[in-house]
Formats: sequence, structure tokens, C-alpha cells
Amino acid sequence: MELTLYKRKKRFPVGQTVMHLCLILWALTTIFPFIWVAVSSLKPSAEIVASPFGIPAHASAQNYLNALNRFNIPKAYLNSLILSGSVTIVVILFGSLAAYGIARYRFKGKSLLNMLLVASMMFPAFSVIIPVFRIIRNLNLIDNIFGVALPQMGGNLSFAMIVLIGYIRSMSNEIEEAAFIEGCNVFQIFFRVVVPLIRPALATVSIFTFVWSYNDLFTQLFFLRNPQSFAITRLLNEFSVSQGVPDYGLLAAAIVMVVLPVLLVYVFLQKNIIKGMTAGAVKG
Amino acid sequence: MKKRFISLALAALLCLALFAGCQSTSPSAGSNPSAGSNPSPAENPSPEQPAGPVTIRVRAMFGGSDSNKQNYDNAIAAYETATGNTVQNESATADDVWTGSVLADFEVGSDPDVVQFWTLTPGNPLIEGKKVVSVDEIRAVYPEYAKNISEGALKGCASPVDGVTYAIPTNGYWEGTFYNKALLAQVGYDSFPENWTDFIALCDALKAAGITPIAESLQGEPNYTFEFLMANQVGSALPSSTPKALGDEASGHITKVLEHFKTFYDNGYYPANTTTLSRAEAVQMVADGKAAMMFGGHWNRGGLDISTAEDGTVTTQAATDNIELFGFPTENPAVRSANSFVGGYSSGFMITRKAWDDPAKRKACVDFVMAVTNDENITNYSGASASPLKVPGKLPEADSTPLLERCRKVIAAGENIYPALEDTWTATAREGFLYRDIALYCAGELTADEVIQNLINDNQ
Amino acid sequence: MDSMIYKRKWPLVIFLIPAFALMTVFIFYPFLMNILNSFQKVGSLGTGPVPVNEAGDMFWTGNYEKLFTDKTMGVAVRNTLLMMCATVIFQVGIALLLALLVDSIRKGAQTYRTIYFFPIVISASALGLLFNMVFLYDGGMLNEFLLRIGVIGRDELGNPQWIDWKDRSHAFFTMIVPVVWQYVGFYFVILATGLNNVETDIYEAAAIDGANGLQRIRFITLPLIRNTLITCLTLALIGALKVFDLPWQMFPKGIPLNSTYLTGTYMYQQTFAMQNVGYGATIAVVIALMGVAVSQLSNLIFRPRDI
Repeated sequence: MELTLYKRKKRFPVGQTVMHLCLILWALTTIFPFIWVAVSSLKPSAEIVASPFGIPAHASAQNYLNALNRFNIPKAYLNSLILSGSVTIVVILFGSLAAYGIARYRFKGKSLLNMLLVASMMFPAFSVIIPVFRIIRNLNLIDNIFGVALPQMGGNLSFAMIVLIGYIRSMSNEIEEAAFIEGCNVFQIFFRVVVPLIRPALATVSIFTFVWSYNDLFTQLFFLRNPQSFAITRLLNEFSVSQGVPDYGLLAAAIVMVVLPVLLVYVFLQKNIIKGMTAGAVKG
Repeated sequence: MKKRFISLALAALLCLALFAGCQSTSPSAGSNPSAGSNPSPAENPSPEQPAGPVTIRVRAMFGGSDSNKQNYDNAIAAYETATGNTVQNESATADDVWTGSVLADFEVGSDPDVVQFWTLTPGNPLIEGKKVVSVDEIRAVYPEYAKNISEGALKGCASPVDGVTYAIPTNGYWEGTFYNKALLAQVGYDSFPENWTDFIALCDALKAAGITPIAESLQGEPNYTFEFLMANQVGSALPSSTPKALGDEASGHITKVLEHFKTFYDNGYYPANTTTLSRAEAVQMVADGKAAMMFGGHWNRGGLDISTAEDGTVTTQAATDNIELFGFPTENPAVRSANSFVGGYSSGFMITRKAWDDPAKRKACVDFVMAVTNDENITNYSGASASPLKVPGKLPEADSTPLLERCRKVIAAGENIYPALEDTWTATAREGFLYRDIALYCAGELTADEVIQNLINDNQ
Repeated sequence: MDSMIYKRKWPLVIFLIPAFALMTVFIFYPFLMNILNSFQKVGSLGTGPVPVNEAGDMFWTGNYEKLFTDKTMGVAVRNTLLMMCATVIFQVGIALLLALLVDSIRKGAQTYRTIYFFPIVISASALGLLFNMVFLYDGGMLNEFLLRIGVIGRDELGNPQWIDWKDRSHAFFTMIVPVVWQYVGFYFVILATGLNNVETDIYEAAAIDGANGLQRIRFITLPLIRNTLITCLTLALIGALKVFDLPWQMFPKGIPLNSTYLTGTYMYQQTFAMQNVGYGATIAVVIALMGVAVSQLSNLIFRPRDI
């Protein structure tokens, strides 16, 4: 491909080395906590407090075994997948539709809408929880994973829209024009032209929506009561406390178990952000 | 287009949801009869004879990975086998969010059938809203209810709203002084000093020897220090010593207490970073043998003790063998004996009005509460804390540790136990006074009068 | 640029309705209730308004009056404004630098993208625990390190004279470093996505014209990702207003001595711990208003442009 060709001939090795050094330096800081948590998960709680940065005296998978023995972990993973998956899909679909409308149309009240979007990002979940709780109860969705999903969808849409609006506005609309001249209506243009073009942004928004939905403990704490309906974050939060004292060992194991699937989702979605694929999408 | 249709359909659905939401915000005074997952059993004629097995919904605060959670689950399983009823078990660790979600349940009319909740100020809305049934009312129909619980414990659970008892406690709490006898021995003390002068001398000696005398997190949990200092001023009048106006008697006592705090702070009895230290770090200082004492509650025992993992690895906190429990030094033995404690009851099982008025559920709920609060279960739950039983049982061997046994012995020999003053305060007052203003006073940023005025305002 | 496609307005309704219907039900309407609460005296979460007088439940401006006399609220606003500066300069700045670097290396870009994302997926409670261990007073990682290299001395008894990283003179630094660090990855991912939008042909043309690396960034890359950058700035500014988890884990209750509250943590404290839902609701309104004001201001300064 022309792209790789261009890159090969351009850079000097010295520049590359310096760049890698900077990047590695930052990478060390971001990877350290994860390694620390992973190592800590092999220690008993008291050892984490006594020597937080030491090598485990006797590494043991006991924390993981405890978790697996006591709780229905696979069921909780499944609940999490349904929860965060449905939130992500709805946010992406509704968010991109609305973002496209706002980015491309001129209409009265557009700036007001923009302001509402920004404001709604500021509404903290706990200051809207009681009215939301009433609605969810009226829908008979308490203790149901979708009772958590609906407010999360509402909460994540504004972020998705802000990012997507920015992205769509920075694209020229030539391709849309061309499609229009060829006789596409605006919905065809949206689904056949715009969506493929904004795929990297959709991937980005998906990642964050998924992560936030997955990690959002507060809504789950409020709406989920029966362990059978718990998503993984809620379940593991429950068992990392023992006799009112945080059990750091279990906590660390819980974090590893919570984080791994998200990283997988990220790596999977991230493929969509790679340059070559976008270029391909534009041309194809 | 298909997708267009779907979007429209979803939009319509959501609009419907909105109206449903709006509708529900109108009059919320009467509880909504259609709530809950069970069909209304109104046809049932007699309250004494339910038609068959029912499902009851229970929100309790047994959570986490403790043995108590397991004990509770076992008790439920036994109840289900014995009665044929089903329990919808919604037990979880109690924290601020949990408390809010229970209150929200009652607020929107989705009351559970049985709830284990706070008996003191956080639980007031349940009493004020007449959402739960008193023990006396239940006993009028079921005289056996709570028979095994001591009258003192039931009285300790009385609501501050009306002085009536609604809850059956599973365990009590106590507060006292944990100290390290080896560190005391280093500066020449073979027991904890009982009077104030000796106590101050001990702190000075420790300080001179380079040992932190008191592990205190000033914005973490200075409540225990506060309760004891206050009890030293007023003795058994402790729970009724909230100041009503600047200059009243209670204000004078609070001023005195604040001065003691300032003495501790200014003389360096506290760690150098006492205003930024977390409570967990403070407990750790005692566990590591870096500080000579701390004032705390029965729940701190675990952090100072041995823990045994399931694979048999035993982790002992460094100072465990040297940790002892003591009351608190007295300023005037006529007012309060050094060998007395702060303690009482703060939570318990209650039957909701809604379940009580439901003929199908009434007996099931009564049986449930009696089952989970029978002698054996309560003995299991209470651990190092005080047992509310008339005849306290013996803790199972496996759950016991030497330190736990030492604590139980000291508590059993205590001369008196005072219910805490802070429990009669509003959350606003507790937060403001204990976790903010004491520290600000010590740092010289508030005067005693300002602190007391805040306390008075926040308690309204 | 007014295209023929967008002359007919009716499809707009279909584009907007699904998202805004959801948001109306679960965000706007509940927030309206929150605004109502801010005029009422509401105690603990889950309970209704407390009747304050014969006339009804309204408390009117009581909460707002309190707002202006509440010194702690002043501290929270000041800290939040400082936090905003820090997030804009450091979060977005470092993220941009990293994104540009990753964009111009040949190998391993994928790996960096994955690793930089780590801090976002690890929950705040874990990061809070970790950073508390790093900044721990007695034997924390940083203090141990400084002791070893001799920056921290010992007193005459031989005890190390530890630095209290959470005391008043260090607290803000200790709070801001983890927050900045955690969200660099977030802006990095967004900016990396924006860089994809830059067509590589333009670079090639520039390379042929003899533009060097820095010139390319200044005159081609930055203008082309202008809108993405502005999105990041907006997100960073309003993100600073609601940042909560990590500061709360490390500095609960504004320790030491009320000096570290942010608007987000102060609202949480009022709503949950002090059970002043009414006052918490008032702070939420203030936060939302500040968010709108700040983003309008940033829109005025860095006006986004359509290409």
C-alpha cells in the first residue's frame, strides 16, 4: 500500500528511537498499576498492606479460587455483556443518528440543543437517581439488567454525541454530495456513506461507553438486589469487603477479573481505529 | 427503511415510559397497592391461616465475604425447608448507597416485607412514615416473638422518634481503648492508667520515647475519643447531652471535650499527619506496633487480629499478642468509671406495615424474623460484639481468636455501658461536628463557640 | 456549505428523536426534578422533601443563600477551576504529544494504544488504593525513594522526617497528578481517532514540498484535527467539573481541614454523608451551569469550524 511505502522512506532511525523512548516512558507509568494489581492479587490481604510493593512471599491463586467458589462468575459476566453490550449498541445507533442531524442540519434551537448536551454531561448519576428509580419501578425493571441499561444509555448519549458531532464536522461532505447526486436519500446517505466513514469515531465511542457502563457501580448498586441479576462489577464489589474491612487481596483479584474482558473488548474494537482500514473504507 | 421503523418504535416506547414516570410523581402519600411481584392476596379471609407457601422479600445487611453472610444464607435455607416459603434474599453490604436505596424503596412504594435497617437516625423515615410494625404490636398476636432477646437489648433498639421498639437486633456494638501492653511496658507501665493525670503522664512518656501515643485519624473517626471524653463529663446522661443553645450546660461539656482534643493535638500525642491519616492507616499503626493505643469499636478487632485464609495460611498482625482492651481513663470516677464502655444497638430486623397487613404474608414474616434471630444464629452473628440474647451462647471454636476472647472477657467485666451521643444526632450534625469541626478546632480555624453553634444548627 | 441534501428539514426529526427521547426520560426530566429539589429542603436520599412551613414544601432560595455563605463551596470552586487548568494543559497536552508520536512511529503503535488505555479500565478504588500506597506517609513508595536518595533526612532519634504528601502544602499536587495521569489515555484515544481523519495524501504532498516534521504538524496536522482538539478541550473542561472517584478515594471529606474539596466531591459529601439532598441538588445545578458557561466560553475562544 502507498501508505506504508511513504512511511518507510520518511523517518530517520534516531528520531524513531527518541520517540520510542518517550512513548515507553509513559507506557511504564500506565502499565505499572496493572502489574501491581495483578501481583497483589496473588497475596493475602495483610501482606498487601504490610509490603505493598514486595514480591509475594508465597504466591497463591487463593483469591481467585475464593471468588470462583463463592459466586456465579460466568453468569455475572454474561449479565455484564448483556448490559454493556446493549448500552453500547443503543448509544452508538441513537448517538450517531442525532450527531449526524446536529452536525449537518441548520435549524433553530441548535445552540440550545448543544448547550443541553454539554449540561447533561454534568448531571451526576446520584443527583438524578430518585426520579429515575421511580421510572424504572413503573416499568417493572428493578432487579433487571435492563433497568440498569436504560439510565446508562441516557447518561452516555451526550458524550457520544459530542464526540461524534466533532468528528462529523471535521469531515468534508463531498462524498455525501456525490451520493446525493447519484440519487440516495438522506437516510441512505447516513447508513451507507456516513456510518462507514465515521467508523473510527464509532469505535472510540463504543469503547468508552462500554467501559463506563461496565464500571458504573452506582446504578447497579441501586437497582440490582438479587445476586442472580448482578453484573460482574457489582458482584465483585460485594465480595471484596469482609467484616466491614476491605479485603485487598480479593479486591485485587476482582479487579483483574473485571479488567481482562474490557481489555479484550478494547483490543477488538481498536482494530477499527487503525489507519489502513479507514482509508479502505473511504475508497471502497 | 427497517431501521427507521425500529427507531421510531423505540422512541414511541420511551415517550410512554416518560409519561409513566411523570404519572408516578404525583401524589405519593398512600403506598401503591400494585407494588411488588406478588399478586394481591386480598381474598384470603383469616390472617392466621395463609393459603399456602408465599414468597417474602427481605432486604438485609449481611454482605461481603464474611462468615456472617454464610450464616445468614444458611438460616434462610433452613427457614425455607421448614416452612415451604420462599425468600427473595436481597442482602448486601450496608453503605450510604445501600441505605439510600432502601429508603427509596419505601419512598416509591416498593416496600420489602422484612428489612434489616438502622434503628437510629438513618432509620427515622421508616418510623415517621409508619412503614414498620412495632414489636409490641406483633407480640399482641404472636407472644413468642423476640422471646429470646433480652429486654435491655430491645430497649436499646427503641427508635429515637417515639421511643418504641420496632427492630430485633442481631448484635450490639461496643467502643473502648485498644492498647499495646509491650509498648506501655517500655515506658514503665504494666497496666493501663485509670485516672486522667496518669494517662497524660503515660502519653508524655511515650512521646518522649519516640512512640506515637494515640493513633488517631482526626478526620477519619474521632467519634470514639469524643464519646468517651463526653462520657467523662456527663456519665449516664451521655445520650441526652446535645447542646440546645450556646452557653447551656451541654455546651460547657462540649467545650471541655474540645479542649482535650486540642491538648492531644498540640502536645503531639497524635501522629504528625493526623489530619490526613485515614482511619485504616491509623488502625494499621497499632497493628504494626508503631502506636501505643487507639480508641475504637468491636469492628476494629479484626484489623488488629489474626486472619486465617482458606488455604490455611495464617497472617498475624505484628502486635496482635500484645493488644489488650481497656475502657477509657476517667476524669472523675464519680461520674464515669474507667472500666465502663460506650455501646448499644444500631440495627435490627423489622417487619413492614405492608407485609403485616397482608394476611398471606404476616405469619411468614414473623416466622422468618424468629428463624434468623434464634439463639444459634444470633450467637453466630455477634462474634466479638455484644450479644442481645437473654442467655448468650458460646461462639463456635473456628470463629474465635485469643484477642477476641480477651475482648469478650473485658467487656463482660465492664461496669457500665453508655449508648453513644452521636447516634441521637442528624447525619448532618454528625458529619459536620465529628469529621470536620473537631479537626478545624484543633487547627485553630474555628472557636469552640462556632463549633457548638454549627452543631446546634445542624441538629435542627 | 449549505448542501442541497440538508435543505429539507423533516428527516431531522427522525435523526434526533430516539436519542433525545431517551435523554429526556432519563436525564432531562430527572434533572428537572433535581432543580425542583434545589428549592426544597430534602434530607437523606430516598426520602421526600421536608415540609419547612405551613405553606408547603418549598424552601425557595434557602439552599442558594447557603451556597454563597458556604466557605467550603468557595474552596471547592477554586480547586475545580485550578483542576480545569491542569486538565486542559496537562491531560490534553500530554495526550496530544503522545498521539502525535504514536502517529509517526513505524512499529508498535498498536501496543502503545493498548497500554495507554490501562488506567481508564482499572477502577478508581484500585487506583486510589495504589496511589495511597505511593504517597503513604510512613514508608510509602515515594517517601522511601526520597529517603534512599537522601532528599528526606532523619531526626536526632534516627526517625525519617517523612513528607506528608497530603498536607495542605502538598495536597493539591498529590490529588492532581493521579487525575491527570488517569485520563491522558482517554484523550489520547480520541485524538488518535481524529488523526485517522487526516488523509495521508496530504502528508505525502507536504513531504514532496519539503516540509519537515514540525512544520507538518503545525501547518497540516493541527489545523486538520482542530475540531477533535476542541472536542477534547470541552470534554476536559467539563470533566474537571465532575471529577470524583479518584480524589474521593484519596482525599475523602476534603482532608486535610476542608482544603481539597472539588465541586464533584463536595456534592457527594452533601448528598450522601451529610444527607442534605436538597443542598446537594443545588450544587449539582451550579456544576451544570458552570459546565455550560465554561464550554460556551471555550467555544467563543476556539470556535469550531466546518471544513
